[in-house]
Amino acid sequence: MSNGLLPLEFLSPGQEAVIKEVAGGMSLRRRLTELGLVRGSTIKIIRNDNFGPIIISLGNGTGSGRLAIGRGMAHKIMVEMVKEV
Amino acid sequence: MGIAALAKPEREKVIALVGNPNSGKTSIFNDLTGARQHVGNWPGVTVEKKEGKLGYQGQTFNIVDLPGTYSLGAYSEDELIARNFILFDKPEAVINVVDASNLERNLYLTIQLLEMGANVVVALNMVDEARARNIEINIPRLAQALRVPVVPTVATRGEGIKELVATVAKQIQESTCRPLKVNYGREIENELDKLEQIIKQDAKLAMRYPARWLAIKLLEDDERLEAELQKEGSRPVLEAVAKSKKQLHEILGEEVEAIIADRRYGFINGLVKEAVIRHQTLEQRLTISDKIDSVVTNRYLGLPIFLLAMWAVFQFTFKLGDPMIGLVESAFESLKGLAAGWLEALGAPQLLTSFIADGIIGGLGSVLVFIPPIFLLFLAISLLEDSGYMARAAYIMDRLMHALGLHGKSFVPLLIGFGCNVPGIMATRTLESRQDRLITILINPLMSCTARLPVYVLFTGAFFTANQGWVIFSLYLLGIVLAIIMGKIFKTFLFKGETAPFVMELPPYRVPTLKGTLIHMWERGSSFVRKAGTVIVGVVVLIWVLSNLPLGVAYASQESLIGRLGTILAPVFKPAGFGTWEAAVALVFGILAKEVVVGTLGVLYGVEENGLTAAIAHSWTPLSAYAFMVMTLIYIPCAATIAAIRRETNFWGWTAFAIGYSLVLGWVMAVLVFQAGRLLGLG
Repeated sequence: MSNGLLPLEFLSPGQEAVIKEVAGGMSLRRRLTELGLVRGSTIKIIRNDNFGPIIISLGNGTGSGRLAIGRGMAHKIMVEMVKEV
Repeated sequence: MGIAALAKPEREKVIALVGNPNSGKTSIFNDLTGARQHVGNWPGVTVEKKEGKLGYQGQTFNIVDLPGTYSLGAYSEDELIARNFILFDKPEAVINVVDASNLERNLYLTIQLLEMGANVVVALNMVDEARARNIEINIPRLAQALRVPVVPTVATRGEGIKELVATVAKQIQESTCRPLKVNYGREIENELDKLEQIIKQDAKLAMRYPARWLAIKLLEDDERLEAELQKEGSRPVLEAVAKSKKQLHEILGEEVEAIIADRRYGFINGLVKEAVIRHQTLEQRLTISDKIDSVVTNRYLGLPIFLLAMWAVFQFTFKLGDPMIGLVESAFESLKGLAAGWLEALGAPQLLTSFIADGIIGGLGSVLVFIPPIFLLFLAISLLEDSGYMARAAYIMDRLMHALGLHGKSFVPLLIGFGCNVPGIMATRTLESRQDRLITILINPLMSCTARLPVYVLFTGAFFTANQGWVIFSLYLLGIVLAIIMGKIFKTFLFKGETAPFVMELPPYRVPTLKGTLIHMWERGSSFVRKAGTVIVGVVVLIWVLSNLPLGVAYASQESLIGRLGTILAPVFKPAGFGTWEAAVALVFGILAKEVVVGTLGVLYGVEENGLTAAIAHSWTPLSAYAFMVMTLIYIPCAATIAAIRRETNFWGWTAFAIGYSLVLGWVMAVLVFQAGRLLGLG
């Protein structure tokens, strides 16, 4: 799945990805922008139980920032995988 | 006495504190101001305004703590307050608290501050944590790139605070601020230049706003500013903006707002690349926080751990609080005796003595006994919050709360409501969406607080001794079920529209500092006492007056106004099975505080509390007793809760709504219980 985009929701813990597109309205995008989730930002999945919110880290996990993202929102964030586990 | 002391005192200079939530802003504020703090409200809104004084070399600075925000748009009350303060109150300096271990996102706010032309000093906080994560920040380089002073701090240990103060003082004196320019790319810059020129021709606008900043904001679709310009009739500017936006959209093929955000982050990324070195460890290891999280937020362990933590909070609050409640009670009891004795000795009229002793002191006492558990509960909550666990609790509960159409964050206030609705309602402040917050406030009184317990104990003791526990449990459950139903109804009919998306920061776990936690507890607890106090005194006085008029009647007898009121109200409760004037009066007094129902019935039946069980067993039936307990659970929140609702919604309309709907719901439920029971032959 080299160049394909997929929703953030489907990533597993440990995987890293780059945000390519946010398929939501402007208010959703604004909220994400404030929190540092914009196109081009790298994120790493810390936890994904396949139900409930997903925990991700900004960057490759070295920083301390952790965000919990609701599943509905994670469905609208399209990413490109950069590192498999 | 030096010369400096003789010099004329200058106007007090204002320093504003700005920063992301969880950046350690509060710690810096505490470090700067110590105990010299003052909490008030921003005019017209419910957001708290914290101010404090800082003395430095004979000058006094007024420190204003602006709400924690990620951005300075106008999309939330908090952001707007922070932005307007910087634009219009023009603080002499702005300390921007930045979390060093989370630099990119924090700098997004910094850039916006700089674009507004604020006189910024960056407090690069938590540098110790960044270092522990192998993040090395070249501070001079960062300062050079941002063109403002950057001071490293560790606020929790007070490190770097002296340097910060000295730097800010120097910055205020020199006041050399040159607005930073992010390059938004040739196309956008061209339009910005054009817009700037047009804005500058509008004298009123140009005086009010920095031209470039306004141009950027208008391209970013800032509804607030657009509306203002519309009102002010700045037609040429708006037309030019619309034209620019259209043109840019055509060239760039995308929303301008998104591109501006991208460029800003691009600028930040470039800056971070230059000033920050991240030493990659060979293996990306999980942080300690992540390790704790893997247990605490585990899909199987998360919920039990959370329940255990809550159980511990309640044990802590009420086991420790109970003896203190006793102390407050006896303190008020002896105060009452003292005041009465003293007034009688002075020859004061009997009515005045009764007013002060029974009315004011007795009434205040019945509410203020809650101070110990409230303070303890706030202490426990502050600990959970400052340690970072609260955010995890919201994460865990989000799954369940979704069924309610609410967020995980709404759960904590509801849970606290089981202890006392007042701190429960105050805890809704952590909710970002106003809708969610209002719903959570409105359903909070349905959480059966500890003050209702004495009523349940009395009536179940009289009628349901065999299965007392289960009967009481059923009332708690009823409250929860009704809260779920009402929450759904409010959501559907009052607050249409989509649920705010759930994204929230999970700050790294930290050991809370004693000072920080105590200040936290004190702020919340004391603000409850001050604000609730006024409303409570009002209700207390009203009830006392009603109990004593017309002159010469026995206190709270059937002939007194309140007795007559009870007699008038009694038929209303007949369908619910407790249509006696005593029950009606007890319910009226219960508004003061729910447990007062018990004491009132004691007075009205003319028996001490231990004889009350027998008196009740004599004149009630099990069914009417259960209906009465249902009524006590649901009808009108107590005076302190009413005060809290008024304070937190900042609107009498919602307060009246909360009173009205709970009264109707309580009556309907009590009648339903009684009539259904009778049909089943239980009456």
